[in-house]
Amino acid sequence: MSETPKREPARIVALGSYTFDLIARSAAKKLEAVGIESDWYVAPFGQYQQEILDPAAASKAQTPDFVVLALHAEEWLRRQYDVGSIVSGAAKAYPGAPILIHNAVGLRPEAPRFLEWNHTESKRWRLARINEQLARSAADHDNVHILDVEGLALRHGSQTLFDSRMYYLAKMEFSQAGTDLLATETAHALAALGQRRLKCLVLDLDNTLWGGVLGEDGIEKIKLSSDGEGRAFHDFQRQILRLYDAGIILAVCSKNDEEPALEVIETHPDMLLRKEHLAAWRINWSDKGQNIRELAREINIGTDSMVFLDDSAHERELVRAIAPEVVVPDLPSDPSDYPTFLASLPYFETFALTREDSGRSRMYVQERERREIEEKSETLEDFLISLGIEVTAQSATRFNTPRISQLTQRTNQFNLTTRRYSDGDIAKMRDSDDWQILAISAADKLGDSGLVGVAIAALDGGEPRIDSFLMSCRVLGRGIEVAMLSLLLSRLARLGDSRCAAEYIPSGRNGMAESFLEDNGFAADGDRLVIDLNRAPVVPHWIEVKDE
Amino acid sequence: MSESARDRIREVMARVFEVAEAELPDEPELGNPPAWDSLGHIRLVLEVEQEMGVRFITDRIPELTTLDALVRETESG
Repeated sequence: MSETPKREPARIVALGSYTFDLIARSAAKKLEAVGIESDWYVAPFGQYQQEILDPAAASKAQTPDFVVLALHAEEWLRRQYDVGSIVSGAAKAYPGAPILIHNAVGLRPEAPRFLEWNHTESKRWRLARINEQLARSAADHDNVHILDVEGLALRHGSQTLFDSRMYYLAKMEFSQAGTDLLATETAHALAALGQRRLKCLVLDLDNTLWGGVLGEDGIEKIKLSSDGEGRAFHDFQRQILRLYDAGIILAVCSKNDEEPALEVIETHPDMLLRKEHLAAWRINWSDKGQNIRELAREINIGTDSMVFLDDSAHERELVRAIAPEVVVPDLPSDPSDYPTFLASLPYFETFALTREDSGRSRMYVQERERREIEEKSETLEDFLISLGIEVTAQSATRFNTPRISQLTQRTNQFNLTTRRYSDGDIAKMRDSDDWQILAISAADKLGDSGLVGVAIAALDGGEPRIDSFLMSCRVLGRGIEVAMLSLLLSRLARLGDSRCAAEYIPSGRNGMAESFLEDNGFAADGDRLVIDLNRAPVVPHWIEVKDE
Repeated sequence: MSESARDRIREVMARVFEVAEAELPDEPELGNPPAWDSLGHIRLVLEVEQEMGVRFITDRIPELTTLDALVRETESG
C-alpha cells in the first residue's frame, strides 16, 4: 500500500511468559509480506514483569512502535488477581505505543473435566473471569488493545494449536500450525494498529450478493432469502453491512443491465444492501478493470485502497491484470462459506471505532447524493448555496485529538506538508503555547461530514508559520478549505501577528494542493511564501461559520 | 530410499536455515550451520515432521542433533 511513505522498520517489543521467538520470527515474515519491515525485541524468557517495571529495561532503550504482551494461561491463572495492574503497568511503561495483549486461552484441559463451569474455581470459569477483567482494563487505556486468541482457538481448535511436546521442550504451548496462525493474527493486528486499513469494498451482484443470474432467472427466481438456500447470501450481506457500519465504503461493479439490477437492490424484500449504502456503482457490460478505476475516481479514493469480491475467477483474473493494485481475494466456491470468509479478511480490521469511522461510509453515500444534486443545479454557486454548508472551527481538545492525528496520518492528496503526527504529538502541541491547532468540521443539509480539516500553525518565535494544512478530499471544492485558511489566519491576526509564512512540500501524491497558497494570496518572499494578514482570504459567502 | 529421505531432509534444512543447499556441510549437526541453534532445532524438527509425515517422541527430539540421526529416526518412525 502506498498510504504511508517509506519509513524506518517498526520497532516491536514482545513480552511473553513463554518462548515467543518462533511466533515473533514468523510474524516478522508475514509483516514483510504486506510491506511492513519490523525489528523485534523479544524479552528474555520469563522476564516480562521486569521489562515492564524496570525503567532501564532493554525494551525501553528506544521507544517501541508496538508492544505485544503474550502470557500463557497458567501465567494468567497464577496472577489472576493482578490482571488490572499488569495492564495498567504495561500502559504506563510504554505510554506512546499501542499495546496488543493476547487474551488467555486454556489449551490444556484439566481433570476432572466435568467440573468445568460447575465449580467457580474450575479452570475455564477462572479464565473467563480473567478475560473479562482483561477487556475491562484494556478499555480504560487508549493504547491497550486485546488480541482475541481465545477466538482464534475456537475457530481452529486446541488440537490444531497445541503441541504438548513443545510445552516440555521449548517452553511454549503452540504447535507449528498454532505458531503460524498466531503469527498471522498478530501480524494482521499490528498492521491494523498501524492504520493499514483499506477503505472500500467493491461487490459483484450475480452469485455474489445473490444466487443465480438476474438476466436469466429474473427478480423472483434469484436466490436471496432470510431462510433456506438463499440464506447464505442474506448472511453475507449482513456481514457486509457490519463493515459498512465500521466505516467501509461500499460499491457495486456488475455485468448486468442497470435498471433491473437497481430494481432488485431497491425492491427485493430480502435484500439488505440498498442504494442508501452504496457510494457508487457501475452496472453495465464494460470491462470490470476499467469500471473499478472509474469507481475509484468517482468516490475519490485510490484503487490501492479497494478490495474486489466476485464469484467469477475469470473476472478476478481480469481485474488483477488491469488493476493490480486492487486487492482481489478468491471468493470461496461455496456461497455458504462467504460470510465467514468475509470475517477472515484482514483488510478492514480495526481495534476501535471513532465517531468518524462509523459515519464515514454514510458520508460517501451522501457525496453521491450531492453529485446527483450538482448535476441538476444550473451553476456551481447555486449548487453550493443549495447545500447550506455549515463549518465549525474548534481548537484541539482531548476528545478530537485522535481524529486530528488520524487525519494527519491518512490525508495524502490535499495536504500541504504531509507531516504525520501521533496522538501523543498532538497532545503535546495542544498543551504548548508554541502551536495553534485548528480543527474544522463540516455539515450540510445532506448530513454531517464530521471533522474533516486540520490546520496547524507554529508560533515558536518570529513570524507564525503554517506547519500543516490538510483536508479530507471528500469535502474539497466547496470553499471549505478557503474557509479553514481564513479562520486560521484571523486567529493569528487576533494573536497580534501581521504576517504568516507557509510552504508546499511535494510528496508525489499532493499535487492538487500545489497552487493553493498562491491562489489564496500567498506570495514569494525569498524562498518562502508569506501573506499579509490584513489581506487574508474571506470565508466564502455560501458557508456559515460557527467558531467554538 | 535412504538417499531420498536424506536429500529431502537436507532440502528442509536449507529452507529452515535460509542457506543454499550446497553451502550446508556434508554432515550438518547442531551448531553447524550456525543457524542450527536450540531454537533453530525446534524449527527444524517441526519442519522435518511436516515434510516427512512423521511425529517424533518428545524424549528423542533433543537427541536428533545430526542429519544422520534425523534420517534414522524418520526411517524407523
